[in-house]
Amino acid sequence: MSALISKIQKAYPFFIIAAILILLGLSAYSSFHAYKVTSDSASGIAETDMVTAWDKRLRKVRLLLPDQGIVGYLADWDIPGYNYGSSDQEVEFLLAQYTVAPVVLERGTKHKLVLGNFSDNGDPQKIPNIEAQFGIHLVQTYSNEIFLFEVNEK
Amino acid sequence: MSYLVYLTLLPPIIIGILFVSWILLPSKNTNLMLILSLGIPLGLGIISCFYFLWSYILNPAFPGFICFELALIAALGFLNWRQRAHITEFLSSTFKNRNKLEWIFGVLFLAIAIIGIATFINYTNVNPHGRYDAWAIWNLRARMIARGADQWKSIFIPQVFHADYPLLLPLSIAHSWVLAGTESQRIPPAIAGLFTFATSGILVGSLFSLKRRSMGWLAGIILLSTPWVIYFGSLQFADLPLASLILAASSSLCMALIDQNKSTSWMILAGLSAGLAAWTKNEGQLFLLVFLVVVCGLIILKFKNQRTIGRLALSLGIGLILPVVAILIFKFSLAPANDVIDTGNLSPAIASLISAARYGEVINALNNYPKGFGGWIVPIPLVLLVFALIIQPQLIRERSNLALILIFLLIMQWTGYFLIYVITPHQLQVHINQSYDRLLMHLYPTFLLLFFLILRPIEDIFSTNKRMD
Repeated sequence: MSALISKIQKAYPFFIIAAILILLGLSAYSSFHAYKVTSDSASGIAETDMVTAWDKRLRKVRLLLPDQGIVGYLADWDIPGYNYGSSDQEVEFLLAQYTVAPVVLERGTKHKLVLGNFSDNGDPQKIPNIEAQFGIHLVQTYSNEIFLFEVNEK
Repeated sequence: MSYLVYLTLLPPIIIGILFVSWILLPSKNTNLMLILSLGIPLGLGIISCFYFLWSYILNPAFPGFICFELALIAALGFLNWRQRAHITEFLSSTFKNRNKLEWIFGVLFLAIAIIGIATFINYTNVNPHGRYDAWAIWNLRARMIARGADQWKSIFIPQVFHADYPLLLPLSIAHSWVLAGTESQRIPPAIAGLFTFATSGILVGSLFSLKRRSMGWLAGIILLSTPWVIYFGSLQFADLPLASLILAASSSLCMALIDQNKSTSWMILAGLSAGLAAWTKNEGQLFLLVFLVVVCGLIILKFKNQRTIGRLALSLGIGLILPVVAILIFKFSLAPANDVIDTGNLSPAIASLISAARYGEVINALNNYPKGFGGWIVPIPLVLLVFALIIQPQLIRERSNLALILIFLLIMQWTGYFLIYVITPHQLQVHINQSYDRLLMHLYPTFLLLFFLILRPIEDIFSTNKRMD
């Protein structure tokens, strides 16, 4: 028995070396693997990422807005009965907010100016219907999907 | 402007390193790795607090803040110059008496760090603005501050997404943008990278200071080879900055206990780090509370001498004062209500806290959360468990006190997170799925500090075995 314990004691450093080598091997593998996966995805990316693309898309809208303050925001998710992807709408709202900062966007028509972000479904009556529904009128068309409205005076 | 914008990050980093070096030297229980790594988050944190006060009194674009930074660098430079003899001695001893094992582990750490940096750059190339929370919260707030000029306070309204979140990260970014005169997209990932890689340096340096040199390198290798660390760091969220400050506070507190000659200096750093954690994220405010409970218990139980208690409490207060002033001004004069805890109406939160069924729901929801952490090919907890069984823990009395402190900090922080899930007004499973892995990431570097602190030093194992032969 004591001979066995002695053998184990003598072999103990080798267990430790093995444990350290396995740990280092797993670390190295994890690092290389993460690097390889990210290299592959980085080489396959589109020219501009989603946020940069949105920033470019809305950059000049900032010039139409006041320097500070709160501006209303309407999008497809505000049109009753309209089909939309809720996460897309939220992301677009936050992306728009990111671009027009420090102007704050608030959903709805509580403020005099309203930024509209409506997908172009080819319906020529879509914007007139929105104007009638929300009591707003078009001030400027920025693109076929981005509009600046003003709330009608009561 | 291109790469020159990185120069705007230098003043906070230099201030942090000079501050840590001035406060810690001369001490035999510190090292270059720890001074350089602690200097980065603390420097960025200190400058973000001063920049907040500057902006609050004047405005973010008001000229002259760089003069204040240069004056601070000059003052700290002078204080360091006065102890230049200690610094020279400290630097010359840095690379002396290092054994082969340390050099091997050191080179491996460097290799893993380089691969980590390359991976970080790849992630950043895919998402230069970071992921959702980065552009929806942190970088957006930085834009609002930098662009807001004298109207910047008007952005802290309930309509702004999470406008109550603290400002260390947004102000650090805005500070660089205002100084550079351009909103360079290089700055947010650079700051994210500084925090991410400084965390590994703090972990390695802390274990060096705790006389665990080889274990320090190993811990750093494990941390940087954990894919989630690099990934979460590259997201430009505030989670890695918070993790680095929780680690800095925990390790400085441990050092305050074992480095008797410099205990007040370590306590200042511990207080500053914990305060800055609270200035980074709301979860950091929970950590500050946990930290104060642990420190108060520790001071009362461990120290009997009234003067020592007074000195340590004063040091803690000195460290806390700057970030706590910034937090109090922000929370009481600018920030709107929090979305999880409505201080105006606490009854729903209290009702949840006293409902046993709610605790069952949280446990079930945590059970439903996809298991696994870290992104290794094999589960990290299993690997660490097997490693611990082979190396075996070694707890001499002094170390067991430190281990107990770290265990208390980690368990109490985790319990705080659990209670946040108990009172959350959001859909529970969604809240857990969106946040739990990031909450665990806050604790991961400190857990690694604990893990490698309690294991037998590898050098000891081999020297014992040689003696047996």
